[in-house]
Amino acid sequence: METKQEYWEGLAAGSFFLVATGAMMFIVLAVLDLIGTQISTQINGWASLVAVAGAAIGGLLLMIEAGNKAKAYLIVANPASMASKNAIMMTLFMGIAFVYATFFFDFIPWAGLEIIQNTVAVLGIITALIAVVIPALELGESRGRAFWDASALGPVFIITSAASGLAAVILTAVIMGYAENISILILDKVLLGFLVLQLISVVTYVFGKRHSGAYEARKAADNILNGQFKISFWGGIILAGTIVPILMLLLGSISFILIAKTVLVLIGGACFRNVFLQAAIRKPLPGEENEFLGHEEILWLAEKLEKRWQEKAAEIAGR
Amino acid sequence: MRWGMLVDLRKCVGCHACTVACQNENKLPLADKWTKVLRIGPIGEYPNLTGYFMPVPCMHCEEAPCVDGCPTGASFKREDGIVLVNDEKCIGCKFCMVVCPYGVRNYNESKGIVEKCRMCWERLENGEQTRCTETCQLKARYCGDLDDPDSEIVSLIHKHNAQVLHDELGTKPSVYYIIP
Repeated sequence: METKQEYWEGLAAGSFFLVATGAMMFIVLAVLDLIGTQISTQINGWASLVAVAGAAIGGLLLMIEAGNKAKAYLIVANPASMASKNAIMMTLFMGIAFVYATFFFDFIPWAGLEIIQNTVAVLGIITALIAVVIPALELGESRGRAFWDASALGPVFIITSAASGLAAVILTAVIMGYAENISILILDKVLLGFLVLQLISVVTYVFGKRHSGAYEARKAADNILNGQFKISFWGGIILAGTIVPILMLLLGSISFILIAKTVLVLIGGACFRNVFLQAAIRKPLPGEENEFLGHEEILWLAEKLEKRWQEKAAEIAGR
Repeated sequence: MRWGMLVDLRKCVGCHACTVACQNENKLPLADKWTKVLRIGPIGEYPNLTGYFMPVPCMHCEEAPCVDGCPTGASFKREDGIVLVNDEKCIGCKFCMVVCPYGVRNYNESKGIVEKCRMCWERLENGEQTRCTETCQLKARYCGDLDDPDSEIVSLIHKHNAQVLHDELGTKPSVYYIIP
C-alpha cells in the first residue's frame, strides 16, 4: 500500500512550481504593461526573460525526470492527453514570453511597436494561464487518487501560483533597484491579498479532503496535517510561506524586508507543489496492506541471494 | 474480440507460480513483478475466519487511464482490448504509473521505460494460453474472449457473478474475479 505518491517526486514538483511561477510572473508583468504603468518599461524586458528562464528550467527538470531523455521531444506527440497539452502550452508560453521580452530592448528593430506588443502580451497571458491550470487537470486524470480533484485543485493552483508569481516579480524588481517604485509597493499589497487567499484555499482544500468520502483522500490529508508531510505543510507552506510574509507587512517595505518576504513566499510555493504532488496516495487494492515484499525489500533479498551465491561458488571453486 | 481474464479466488492458494512464470516468460529481473499476488484477510472474527489470495496483473482496461494519459502515445490499446506499451515511444515519464489505479506498471531502470503485463499476446495469437494461465497448478485462471457470449470465461463470469477491481472508477477492467 502506498504511503505517498512514489512515482513523481521532487523533480516533477520543482517543474510544476517553476513553470507555474514563471507563467504567473509573466501575467503580472503583462498586466502591468497593459494598464500602462511606468515600471513595466523599466523591468518587463529582463523580468520576462527571468519568467521564461524559470519555466525553461522547469521544463528541463521534467526532461531529467524522464527515463529516456533522448526521446523527450515525443512528449508532445499525443495532444489528446493532458500531459501533452501541458508540454505544448508550456512551450507556447515560453516562446511568446520570449518574443514579448524583445519589445523592451532598444537594439531590436520592433522594440516599441505598441499594438503588436500588446497583442503578444494578451496571447502570453492566455497561454500562461492555461499553463498554470493544466497541471491540475493532468493530476485530476488519476482516477485512483481522490486527493487530486481537478475542479478544486485548479483554483488553488491559480491562487498559489499568483502568490509565487507576484513574489517573483517583486523580487526581480527589488534586485533591479526598483524597490521604492509605487507599482511595486502596490504589488506588495496585492501579494498580501493573495497570501490570505492562499491560506484560506490551501487549508480549506486539505481539511475538505480530510472529511472526504474516499479513504485515500482522507489518508492523504491526514499525512499532510499530522503525518510525514506535516513539517513541509505547517512549517513550509503555512508558516514560512504564508503567515510570516503576511506579518512582515507590518515591518514596512524596505528592500531587505521585500527580499526576505518574497523568498519565503517562493519557498512556501515550492513546498506546496511538493506536498500536494507527493501526498496523493492511490486507492489501495484489497489486501495491499499485507503485501509483504515491497520493491526495495525484494532488491535487498536479491542482493543477499546473489552475494550468498557468489560465496558458495567461491567455496566450491576453492575445494 | 476482446481478450479478458478470470481468476477464481476460491482456487488460488497464493503460490506465486503465476508471478514467477511471468518473470520467466518475459525475462524479468527478480524485483519486477508484472503480476503480484495479494493476501486478503484474515477476515471475520474467530472462529469464523477466512482469507484468500488475489493475483493482480494489468487489468487491460477498456477505459484505460494510462492510454488516455500517455503523452507520447506509447501506451495503446489494441483492437482486441490488450493494452501494451511501445518501447520505442516510451520516454519513461512515469505518468502512466501515476494515473494507473491498480499500481501494476513497473519502471525498468536500465531501459528507462515503463513495462507491464502484455497478456502474452504472442502466445494468444498462436492459439496458446497466457503463461500465467498455463502455469497455474490449481487451474484458477481462465483466459478468453469477453465478447463471445458462448465462451467459457463469459459463462463463468455470469454463473459466479464475477467482479472487477475498483469498478466505481469506471475503467472497465478486463480481469474478473470470482470472490470466495
